Amino acid sequence: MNAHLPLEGVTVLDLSHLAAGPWCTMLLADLGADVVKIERPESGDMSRQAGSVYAEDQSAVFLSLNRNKRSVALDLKRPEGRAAFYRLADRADAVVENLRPGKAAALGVDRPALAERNPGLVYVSISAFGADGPYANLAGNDPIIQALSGAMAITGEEHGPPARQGVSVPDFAAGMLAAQAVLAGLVGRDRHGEGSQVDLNLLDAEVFALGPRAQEYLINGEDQPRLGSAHPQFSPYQAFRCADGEYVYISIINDKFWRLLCQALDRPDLLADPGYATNRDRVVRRRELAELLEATFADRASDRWLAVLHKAGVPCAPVNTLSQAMTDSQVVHNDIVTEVDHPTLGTLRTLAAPMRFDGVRPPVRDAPPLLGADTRAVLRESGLDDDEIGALVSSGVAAEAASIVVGRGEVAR
Amino acid sequence: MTGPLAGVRVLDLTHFVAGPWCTQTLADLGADVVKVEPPGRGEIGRSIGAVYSGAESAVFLSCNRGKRAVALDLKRPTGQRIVQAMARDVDVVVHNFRPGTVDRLGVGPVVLRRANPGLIHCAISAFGNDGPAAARPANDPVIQAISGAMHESGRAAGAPVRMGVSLPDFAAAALAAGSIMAALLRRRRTGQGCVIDLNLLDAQLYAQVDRMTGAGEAPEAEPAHEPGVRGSYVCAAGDALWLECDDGELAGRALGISAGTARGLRDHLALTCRDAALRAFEAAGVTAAPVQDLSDVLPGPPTRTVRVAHPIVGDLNQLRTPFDADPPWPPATIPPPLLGEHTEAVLRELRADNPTDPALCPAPHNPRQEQL
Repeated sequence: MNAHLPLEGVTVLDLSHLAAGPWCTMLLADLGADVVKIERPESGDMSRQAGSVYAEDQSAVFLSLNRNKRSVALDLKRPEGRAAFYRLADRADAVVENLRPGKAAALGVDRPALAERNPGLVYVSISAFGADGPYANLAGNDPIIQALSGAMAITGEEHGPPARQGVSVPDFAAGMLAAQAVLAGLVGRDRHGEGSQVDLNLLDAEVFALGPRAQEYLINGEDQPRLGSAHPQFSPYQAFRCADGEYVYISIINDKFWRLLCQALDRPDLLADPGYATNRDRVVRRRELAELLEATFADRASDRWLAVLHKAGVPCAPVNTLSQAMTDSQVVHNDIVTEVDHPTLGTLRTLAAPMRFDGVRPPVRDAPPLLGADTRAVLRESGLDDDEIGALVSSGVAAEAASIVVGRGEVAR
Repeated sequence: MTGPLAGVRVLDLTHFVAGPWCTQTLADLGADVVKVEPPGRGEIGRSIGAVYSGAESAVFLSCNRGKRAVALDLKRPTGQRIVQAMARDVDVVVHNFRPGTVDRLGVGPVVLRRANPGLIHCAISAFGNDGPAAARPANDPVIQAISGAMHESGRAAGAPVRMGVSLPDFAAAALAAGSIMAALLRRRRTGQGCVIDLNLLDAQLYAQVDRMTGAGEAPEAEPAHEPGVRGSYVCAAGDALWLECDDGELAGRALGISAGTARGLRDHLALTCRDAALRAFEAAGVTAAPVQDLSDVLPGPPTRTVRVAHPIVGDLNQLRTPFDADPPWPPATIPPPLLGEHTEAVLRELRADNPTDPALCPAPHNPRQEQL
């Protein structure tokens, strides 16, 4: 069934919670790894009760980032729980954690403790700001990282305050880089047999995601303006409001597309105007050109403009809301919106993995697990017998899904 | 000391941002990446944008460290045959041509895998290989617009706002690099190569999965009743801060004002020095952070950047791929290459490997002048 999945046979122990770590391990799970999520028996990953959007008692944050994984509820603070974890770690290829710096060592589950038993282990730690430094006491959540990274300063309306990017860039970026670290570590281990410890943090990941913007600064030392939907180095390159109140984005990156735009708008006068001949000219006269185009776009509804611009080969797009995006014709064609049966919620709608291997998209095989859904199965695989597992469960060191009731906003005790 | 991908050979046919960023990551992790570009002006990324150092654009410089560059005309049969020969003994080919182009150029997966069945062939497109938008041109903001990210970023402002980070490019690059490494792992076990394809739109949506998962209808933004106080504020001298707090009264009290509304805070903070405001918030247990400019963040701690010696630009400071590994993974320090800088060296290596290959004979005397 998983013939197309490249990470089949790779086992990852997931000590992570909230967003960056689970995003990392979800990608590994989507690529076929057996990801075993270790959670606190009482309440599990704190993202099970995070955010404001819930499907019954399950938070959208948890549901979105934990499919294709198995859940083991195990108390690592108790010696018996730690001993069971060591059994799992002996057979694992990688561990991912985003506990507070120092916490994994305090629990005895850091790499030095595990590598004695399993030297090939690849261990990836994700923190907010690194182990120390001036922000160590700050909450490392998404808008704080965006604010500190420089990304927020270059996002927002031209004369308005900085704006938060509407997507969780720090968590996503750190998650993707952490997955790369796991995979690179495993490739390296295949070559020389040795595992590794890799540390990365959300702030550096968000700065790294600046990419070309950062290189521009490192070359010219100039801060960059906020320009709403526009870009400091290209013009016209922004969203225009149409007669129906919807926006259409056009991105003219070169003179060829400028010619196509002028032809599509039936404005030979603009094309002939030497003041707009090159991108550099158009950037200098951005404001004036934008006003001119604003008036033009206000004349017709967005779908009419899009039809004209698409036909002419001008790079353009509707500015969709999230729900419009889910029904966009290309998104529908790509079949990335998918459904999975959830044990308590029924049908859960989510987005599948974005890549295809030999034409086949990695499937969403399993719903996000209930807390402790796989405790017994996983502990059995690690060699514990039913009596040992029974003792762990009855003493509260481990827990199984059926015995745990966690409600929204409340924690079972 | 080498990176974990040492010994992995990558043939890089990419241009602009997403593709080159992917292969730069592989280079940073130790892979030998050979980039093939059209003679003349090279790939489009070399001459895009408005910030240059020497004759090289910031866009190009940001995504091409650690690679060697070969100038070959893929529109001509000789160029195609040489790339086909190069593809015989590499592990990975990456390209981001528009769908269909790669087959027309004779370097599609069917042709290349016939000679090298273990090859991992990765294609990055804007929208996917087919579908209503597949043939359309696209770049970062087009994907930001379609995906809903631009609308989400602009909700406070009313009009759409472009995310400062080119997330579609980053997402596609990161996911392509991850998929390639996963495929490399499988190949070591099974010998099996594969064709990977992904696109910027799907990659961007994966970055929004936390906002687009739910049991019923797509979760739309909550209706804005009263504007909350959580958000960014511009202080005196134009410095900004982010207030991570939903309790307006608490935030107001921290500043010694009675009005705990967004408007009251905005008016007060506009006249307040940012450092004083941050200190007041901290003293009151209210979470807030400075909205830092690029100049506050870069070059930043020495570990955040890497310095490479560029033959024309001189010392070039670049963002480092942010892994701290133990044992260490030294980042690539080969500077972003000049167009065709390694044509001769790479072709010579190829001839040594395939001395009788007809595609490589007669040997060009000076590939840069001949512009194959």
